[in-house]
Amino acid sequence: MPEVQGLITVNIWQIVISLCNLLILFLILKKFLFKPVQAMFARRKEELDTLYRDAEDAKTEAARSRMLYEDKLAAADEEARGIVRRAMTQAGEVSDEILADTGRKVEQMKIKARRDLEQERKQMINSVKDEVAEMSVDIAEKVVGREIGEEDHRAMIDRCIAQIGQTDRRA
Amino acid sequence: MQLAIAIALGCCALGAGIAMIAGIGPAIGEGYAVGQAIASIARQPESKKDVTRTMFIGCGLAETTGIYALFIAVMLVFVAPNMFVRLITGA
Amino acid sequence: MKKRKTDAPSAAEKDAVTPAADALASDPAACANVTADCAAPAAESAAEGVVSPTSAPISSAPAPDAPAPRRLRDRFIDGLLLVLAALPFVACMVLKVLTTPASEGVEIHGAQVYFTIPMPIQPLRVSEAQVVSLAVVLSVLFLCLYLTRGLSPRGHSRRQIICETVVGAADGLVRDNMGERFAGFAPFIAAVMALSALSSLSSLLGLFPPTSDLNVVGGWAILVFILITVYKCKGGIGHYLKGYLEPFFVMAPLNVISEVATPVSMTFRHVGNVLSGVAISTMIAAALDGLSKLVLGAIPFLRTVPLFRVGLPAVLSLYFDLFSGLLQAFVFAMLSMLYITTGFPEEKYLERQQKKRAKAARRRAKS
Repeated sequence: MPEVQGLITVNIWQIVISLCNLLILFLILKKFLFKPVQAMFARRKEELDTLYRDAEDAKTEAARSRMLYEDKLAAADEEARGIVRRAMTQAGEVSDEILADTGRKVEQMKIKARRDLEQERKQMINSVKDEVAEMSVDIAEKVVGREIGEEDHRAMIDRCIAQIGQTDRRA
Repeated sequence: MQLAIAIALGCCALGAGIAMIAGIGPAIGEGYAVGQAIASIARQPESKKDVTRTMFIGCGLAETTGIYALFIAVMLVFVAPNMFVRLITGA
Repeated sequence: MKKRKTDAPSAAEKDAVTPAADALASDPAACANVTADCAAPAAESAAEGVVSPTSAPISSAPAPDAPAPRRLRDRFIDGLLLVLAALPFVACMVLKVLTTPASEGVEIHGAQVYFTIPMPIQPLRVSEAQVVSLAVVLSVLFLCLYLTRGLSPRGHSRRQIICETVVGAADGLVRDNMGERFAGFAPFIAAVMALSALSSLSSLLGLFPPTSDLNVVGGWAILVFILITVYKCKGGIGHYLKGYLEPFFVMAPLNVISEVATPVSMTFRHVGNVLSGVAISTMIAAALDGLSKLVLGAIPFLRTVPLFRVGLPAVLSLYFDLFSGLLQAFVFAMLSMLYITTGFPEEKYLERQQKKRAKAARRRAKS
């Protein structure tokens, strides 16, 4: 005949058993549930940390590379501009030189031309003087009717022509 | 003997009934708590989860005296008569 | 008591809480989200990232290149663990059916005693409450073994999510209510809640719920009381004894009574709820019995069949067993957390630590 415990009883050993039950369950949960799961959380956090750290490193690396490349680019720009500037100044100098040269040459040509003109003018005047002298001798011969002694009157005619030349020159 | 047993059993039943008058306390207290919880939820709807949880905990605590009374009543109805009868017939 | 010593060092682990578990464990939802987020981009590496050299159990995520007999062995072990987890309850039910004498009506009585061992102070009566308690502990043990097979940082199997949710919730609850210092209390609170909730729920299986037994819950409450006292004495025994004399000298007896009332009230709150639930369910079952006898007594066929007892008690058990049992388990755990936290004298404890360290430093400097 099975015995039935009263509804409200106090049995010290049952209390002790229940206390031990709770302790055993606490140890079971700690060892078999909380420890593995918390270890897994730690591993996951570690993996995430390494992931983040790697990402941070890659980012700084990329930023540094970018700065390097930008510097290089800026330097290349500067160099190119320098080259262009130098080329332009050189070209300017060369063109200035050529212009000066040309000017000088033109000046020389002008002087030469003027001198040639003077020369030709003198020659023309001389030839005109000679012809006039001859003509005047002829005329004088015809007027006088005789032969003029070329040497006596040549000096007088040259004097007359020089006077004409002076007045010419004065005019 | 019969009279003694009758008085004992009668008083057990009477005691159980009187004990349950204490059931009015938790009812009033928990009703007031729920009213306050609803007012605070109306004032700040984001706190609904926290307020509800705290309200349940508070109701669990406030229920205590009512449970004590129920406990005594249950004991008086189920356990006490046997005990008294055994005491009276044994003594 | 020997068993008590094993509790103190584990409770003193509060300072050794893994800092790694802080951020993640305090937010269980984030943990689940983090697993989902990590799993999506790492789907390809799940196969090789899962095999961890330290843990023997193999991952439960389907590894396409794992040999077939290994998977079969895995599933066999999984099935075995699940069966072992359900076995204690089935055994209890079988035991109860075999040993309950056929009785006519419904009556309310305590647990049935299986055998008695004579012991010094009182005879040790091994009753149904003890057996069901043991069944709960064994069941939780096998369930834990089943759940933690194949844990991996990037896995997201159902088992792992359940594990993470439970551990995260327990950790979160303890940290919210007890602060960072007591973070190592999470397994203890989880144990109290699991034991209490599963014991109350075992009445759904027709077993005698251990939480309706005064001795069982009394044992838990006395353990919690011991913990409270130990933590109160961490500020020095003198400080603890002086606390009884506050605020007036004559208040000492009242203070002692209120100390003693702590475990007593916790016990009665829990037992009273469950026991009165059982009592009311029994009374209603008896009433329905009588009702069915009354209504169907005329029909000779159904005279002895308690027809009305089918169905209606289930609705009641929804409140009494499920809601009330779980709520009381939660309240028990919350109260123990609150008592331990409020009883711990923070400043005094820090002062004593400083004094001890100063003394040790002086002793080292002298020698």
